[in-house]
Amino acid sequence: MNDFREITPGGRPFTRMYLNVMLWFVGRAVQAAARQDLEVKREFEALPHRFTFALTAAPDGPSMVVGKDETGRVKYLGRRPGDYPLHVRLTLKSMEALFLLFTFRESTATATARDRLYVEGGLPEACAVVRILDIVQVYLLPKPVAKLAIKRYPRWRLKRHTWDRAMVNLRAVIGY
Amino acid sequence: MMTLPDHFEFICPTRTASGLKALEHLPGDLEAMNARKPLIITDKRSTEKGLVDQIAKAFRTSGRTLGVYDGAGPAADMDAVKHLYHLYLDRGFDAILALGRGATVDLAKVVNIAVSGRPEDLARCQGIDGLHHPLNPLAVIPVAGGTARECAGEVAFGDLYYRSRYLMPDLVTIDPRMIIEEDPLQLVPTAVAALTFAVEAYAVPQGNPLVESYAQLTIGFVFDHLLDEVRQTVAQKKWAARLSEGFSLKKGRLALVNAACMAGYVHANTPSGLAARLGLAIGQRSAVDPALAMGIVLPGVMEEQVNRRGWDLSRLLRPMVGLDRFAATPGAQRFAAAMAKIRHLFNELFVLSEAAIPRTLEDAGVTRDALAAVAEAVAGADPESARACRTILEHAFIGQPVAP
Amino acid sequence: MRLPDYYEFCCRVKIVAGHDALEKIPALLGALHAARPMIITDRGVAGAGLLDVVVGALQDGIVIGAVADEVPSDSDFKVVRRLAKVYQQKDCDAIVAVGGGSVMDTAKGVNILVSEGGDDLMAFTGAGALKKRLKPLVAVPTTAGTGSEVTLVAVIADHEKNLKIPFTSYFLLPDIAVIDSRMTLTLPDVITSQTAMDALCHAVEAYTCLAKNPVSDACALEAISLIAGNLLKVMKTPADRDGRLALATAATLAGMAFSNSMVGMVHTLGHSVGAVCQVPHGTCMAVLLPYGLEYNMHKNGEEAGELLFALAGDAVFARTPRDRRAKQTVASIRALNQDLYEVTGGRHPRCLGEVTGPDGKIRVPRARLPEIARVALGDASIFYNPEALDEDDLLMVLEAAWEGIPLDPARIRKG
Repeated sequence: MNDFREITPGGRPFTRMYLNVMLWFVGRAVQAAARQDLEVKREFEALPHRFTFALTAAPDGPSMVVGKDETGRVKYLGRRPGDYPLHVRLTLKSMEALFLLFTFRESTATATARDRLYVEGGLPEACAVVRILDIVQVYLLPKPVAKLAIKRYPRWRLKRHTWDRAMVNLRAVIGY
Repeated sequence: MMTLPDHFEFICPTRTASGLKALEHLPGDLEAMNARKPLIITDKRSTEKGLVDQIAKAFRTSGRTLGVYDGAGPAADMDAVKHLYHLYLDRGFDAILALGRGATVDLAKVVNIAVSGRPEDLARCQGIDGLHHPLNPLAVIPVAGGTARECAGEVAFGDLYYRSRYLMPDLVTIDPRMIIEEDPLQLVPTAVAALTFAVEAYAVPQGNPLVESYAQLTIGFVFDHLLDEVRQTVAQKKWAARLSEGFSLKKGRLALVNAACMAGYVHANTPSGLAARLGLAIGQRSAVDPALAMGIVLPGVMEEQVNRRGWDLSRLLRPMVGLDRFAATPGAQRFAAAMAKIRHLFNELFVLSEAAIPRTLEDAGVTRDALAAVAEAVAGADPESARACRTILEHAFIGQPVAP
Repeated sequence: MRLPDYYEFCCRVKIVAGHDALEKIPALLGALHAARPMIITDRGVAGAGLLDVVVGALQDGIVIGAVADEVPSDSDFKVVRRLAKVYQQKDCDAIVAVGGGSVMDTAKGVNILVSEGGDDLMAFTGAGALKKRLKPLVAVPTTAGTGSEVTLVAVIADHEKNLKIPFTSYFLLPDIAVIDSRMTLTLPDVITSQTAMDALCHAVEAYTCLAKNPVSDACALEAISLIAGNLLKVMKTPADRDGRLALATAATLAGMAFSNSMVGMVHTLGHSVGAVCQVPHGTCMAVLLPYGLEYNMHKNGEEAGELLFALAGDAVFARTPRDRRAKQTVASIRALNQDLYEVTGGRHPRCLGEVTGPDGKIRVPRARLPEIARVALGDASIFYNPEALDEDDLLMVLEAAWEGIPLDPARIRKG
């Protein structure tokens, strides 16, 4: 009968590439912000020794891993969460959900509210990770876009908005 | 405030997911039910309109293989069941995605009975509560239109009839991309059937709070969106309107599909009401769509029961008009206002559809002679209920309220 | 009717409620092919004579395989493992859990072990660890508050490692929740008010926070009107069967609503006050609820205003102008707290400063508020709150709730 067929859907190479670039940059920006921004630095200091977290999409979508090394220095650790013992793992239910997040159509709060994001690991630590990511988004995104991504745009001092912002972006690019 | 009955029960084993990118959740949701190789059961229309391709796209990056059977027809087809039974087992499928409405979903449910146990179960488990075990995972992906029973626990398939909670789907995934119905009048019978199931669920003196929670949603969505949907699409066929609709997630349609799905849950938890039975009987004896006939007799059915039994059904108005206007209406006016709302809905549809949707049984082309036969068929031997049916039908014939 | 751009709703639990719902359990278990249930409960329930009622209702229709009445209030892995052994030794094939949150969580844990085998609960933590149906579980709540008879979470402590481990899965949902008015008929007045306010808070936050959806909205409104219409009545006439059934039903409806829509800052703060100062959960909820509504009013005033319909009835709703309804909602909740304060002779506190322990001493010293605010930052419910909250915001709210004064609108930073 010609009523039946089997299909094996392919991948999404372009979306995957876009997300990989975004995650790579955000990961390096977290590393940069941990060195440049006092608030992020303090958040990381309060987290456990060798704290490591990942942001990823199920089932094996693009990922980023960030963690503290032996000395407490924050580092972007690449895109393979399987290689590290994770304290916190933020998983988007599908690559499409991650895409919604990184095209700023849904904030982390909205994605959580819509059951697209789930957290494994310690909840207090996960809350800290979300706070860190919120600050990093403010650094990376122009104000109108950042307002879509977070609940309340922070009132920062001029230096933080200008000098620190420039430095975080620069450090993210050069990876220092 | 409602008073509770001394005893009530409710079950809805279905998980509902509705809205933006809902399809993309399917692989994960199936995985959570331990299902990895789903078989889509659908009809040719879904393939032609690109719906199957959309689902396939949503499964990209999931690493899963999908089976697609698009041979479901409008009539019950036992050969298709046999064919699908073998396909499912031979090719190692472990879940069914029913994409479509009415007969397509019924076919999927019947196949699921067979593959979850043995083929003999089809004969053995007929009737009410004939199934005793959960079936294999079944997800329904509704398209607009249908019987409003797709999400209920009832299947009528040729001579076979089943009613069981185990026939309610495990998952209902409502995605705007699947809702492509272009003729707005196709939405009406479904919405009216849903409305009938929901309103009749209220026809008890003390409400079941769970049934009424779902029923409210059906009633609210239908009254909030049906007329607008019909009006808009009839009036505008301009490219600008279509473009904006593409961006707007088709909120109104989505709400109507939600309404039909909630009505299914209500239907599974309440006995079949008088309006629904009258509507079916009228449909069998005339050319009118039974769903529309249900809606036409609905206000009369409610009025007759309120008059005869002295029930207070004023709470019906709330989902129809919202909290503000409900609170503004004095208690003693609420029931009459609710019935007027239902009649108003039909009158508007009559105008918008250029009389394609009837307001009365007379409009619908039912003959006066047929009324007695319908009353007799529905009421059976009980003289009181026969009298009630006759009163309701005669009033619905000319669209007259049943006065207290 | 609001339809969000995306929502999910699921409550697979069969609800059976009534004045003699317990008597249905044997038939309900039969339909699930179970004939030898193990009853899990705690000493409090047994001591109040409720266990006898349940056993009496069951034994005519079914053989009870085992009765375990020693679940402690801080149940842990050890208890779960021990009860799972009893279940297996006595050859049981279903669980009937009778009690509050701790009993339900324990029963869910036992169900994991007896269904999956082994004695390592940790293997089943994390998303998607459970893949198939567990043994039949019937939940009989004895407090009209937590809603855990319809939630998919179990929090079980590992006292050896000093951790609280959450288990989340749709398979943890009980198969049946049996709501029987006899189970709450003898609840003491302060517990009645605490648990009812807990349920009210679930419903209000489900209706006003970010993950709200149409189904949870409908359940929440129904729950609120049942509580508003019955709580004071039951406080004055504890033996009011209809009132008790209404409160218990409301708690279940509220549980359905919040387990799908989650909760916001009232729980963020309430969990932390409870954890730092050991205050009963319901008390924290009652005191903090008005503040959550005030803090978020610029974001969800519309929804908060609609709650007035359920709280105060249609007449009050109709005569209150739209723009004043949200404030009136807050006022109604404060008035309810005041009424409960009076009817309990001051044992239902109106502010954190009034919360006292059994020894009569202040339970929440003002000096500990900064610590509470810090702990609150780590509570996941903060994600679902409409407005953002940092440590300063949390402390500002706590200070006001300690004194029992309304929030100063000028100090709420609006995002």
